[in-house]
Amino acid sequence: MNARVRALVERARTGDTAGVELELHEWTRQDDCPPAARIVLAAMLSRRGELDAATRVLRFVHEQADHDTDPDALRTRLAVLVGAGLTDTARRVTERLYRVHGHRPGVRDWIEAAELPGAEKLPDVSPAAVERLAAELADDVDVVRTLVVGMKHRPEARPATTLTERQGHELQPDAATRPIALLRAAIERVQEGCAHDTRQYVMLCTALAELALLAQDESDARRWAHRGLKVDPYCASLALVLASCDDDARLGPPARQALARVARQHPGYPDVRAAMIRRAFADGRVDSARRRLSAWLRRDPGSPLANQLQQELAA
Amino acid sequence: MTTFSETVQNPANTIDDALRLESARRFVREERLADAEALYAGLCERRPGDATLWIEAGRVAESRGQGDLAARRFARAASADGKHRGEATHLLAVTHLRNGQPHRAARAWHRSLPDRASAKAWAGLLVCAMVEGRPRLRRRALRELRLHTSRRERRRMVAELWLDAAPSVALRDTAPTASPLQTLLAQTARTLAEAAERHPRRADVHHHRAVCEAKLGRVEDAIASNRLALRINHAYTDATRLKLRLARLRQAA
Repeated sequence: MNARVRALVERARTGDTAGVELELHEWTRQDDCPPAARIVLAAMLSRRGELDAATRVLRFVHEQADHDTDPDALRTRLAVLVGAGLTDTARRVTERLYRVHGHRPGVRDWIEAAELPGAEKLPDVSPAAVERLAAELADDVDVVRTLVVGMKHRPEARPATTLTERQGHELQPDAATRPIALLRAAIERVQEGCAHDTRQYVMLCTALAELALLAQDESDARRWAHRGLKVDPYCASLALVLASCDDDARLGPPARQALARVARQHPGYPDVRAAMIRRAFADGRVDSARRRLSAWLRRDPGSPLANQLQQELAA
Repeated sequence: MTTFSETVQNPANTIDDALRLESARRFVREERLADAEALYAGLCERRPGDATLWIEAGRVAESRGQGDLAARRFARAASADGKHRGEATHLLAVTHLRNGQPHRAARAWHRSLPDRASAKAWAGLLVCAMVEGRPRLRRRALRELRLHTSRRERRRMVAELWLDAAPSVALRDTAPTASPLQTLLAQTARTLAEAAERHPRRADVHHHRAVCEAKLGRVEDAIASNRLALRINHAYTDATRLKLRLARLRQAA
């Protein structure tokens, strides 16, 4: 099929534009006409200024189901709509292109570069990409922990933004926030189907809370931490997330309670103990913090974490 | 009866070039493109150093759907004199794009870049970069274009040139869409490899790197990373489990 389109493009290039256009018109009336042929015909018509005719040739995209659409046909339709000044329709088509094909290479870049109407309101990650990742993670939930560890070691993470919020700056295709936003959205989708499995549920709560912290979304981090701790009150990772957030009595008990409970259950966890001392100090309970630290240093004078903490508190 | 085209092609005729050019332009306005073509062909032959003639002749060829001929004429115009080089190069690049040759179009626009304020050239390069999948060129062209144009101008220019690129777009091979999980795992493996260099004593970093490598099918690399994790922490339960799984995978291979 592409060979026929290629031959037509070649013929048009060497002088037989009218013949090619007639043949393409004929072809578009047949069921087997590929999107590539319609794209070429629409471009020929719009070049002559016949934007209405070009829009009609590409109208088939409008009638197709999402999964049948061709991203290039949608892009060509958008270019025709922009040329014709049909901004509202262009906005709807942009939204559809991103929703259905946003996971494909180049689609997001194209929307950014063409600065299409409505691009600034599109979410940072494409719903299509979220769906695909969620489907893959549902078959391999345990890999979520590894992905979160990887995100924690990324050089920089900033809060999720919209596509053109950073207008005027260079938009990197692999901006630090995008994988985090994608992963958060996909894990939330996976979690909806995991409520019956306590271990998986808590692990996903932990992942969501930690990713929210990375994205500097403290309220979401606190929300997921409390949800997970309701199911597993002794989860050290969730208590540590809570230790990084301000308390909110509407959602659950204060962080120091959660930390104390985990520390009683897991007395050998130095990071929980350190978080508990830091939290006491931050809450203004300085004497209590110093007492706990002194007791720790008496028991384990060589602990690097306890010594680091002593320097922190002295400073 | 002799047609007008036959008359003007006869070197013995008495019509001078100024009159021929005037007639050619009138034919273009009246959309008598074959007659205009006949006049321009003769004029270009006699006055090869006139860039304006080549540009007008190129436009006629373009309107008649003779893309290759139009490209040759715009190329002649670009080399004929410096005054028209920018316009001729842009027309040449657009013609290459319409002819389904984005790489040639990009080369032509690159040549006009000493004039860095040329928004048209940057818009053209942006479209070529998107058609050909060249992210670095795309980022640079977009950055430069933003310096010289308003959002509305950029939107219009890119949409217009995208339609010129339609044959290239329609005929290119569509790249298969990568699995998002595999993409994330590959990124994570790279991040953790760097982290392992910064924190060589962290067993969890080595272990999670091993998990990524195993998922990506790199069993030997996974075994090596997981071995480092267990060397640091013998009691690492997850690493011990992974060790057994990797041994089974290696046997199966």
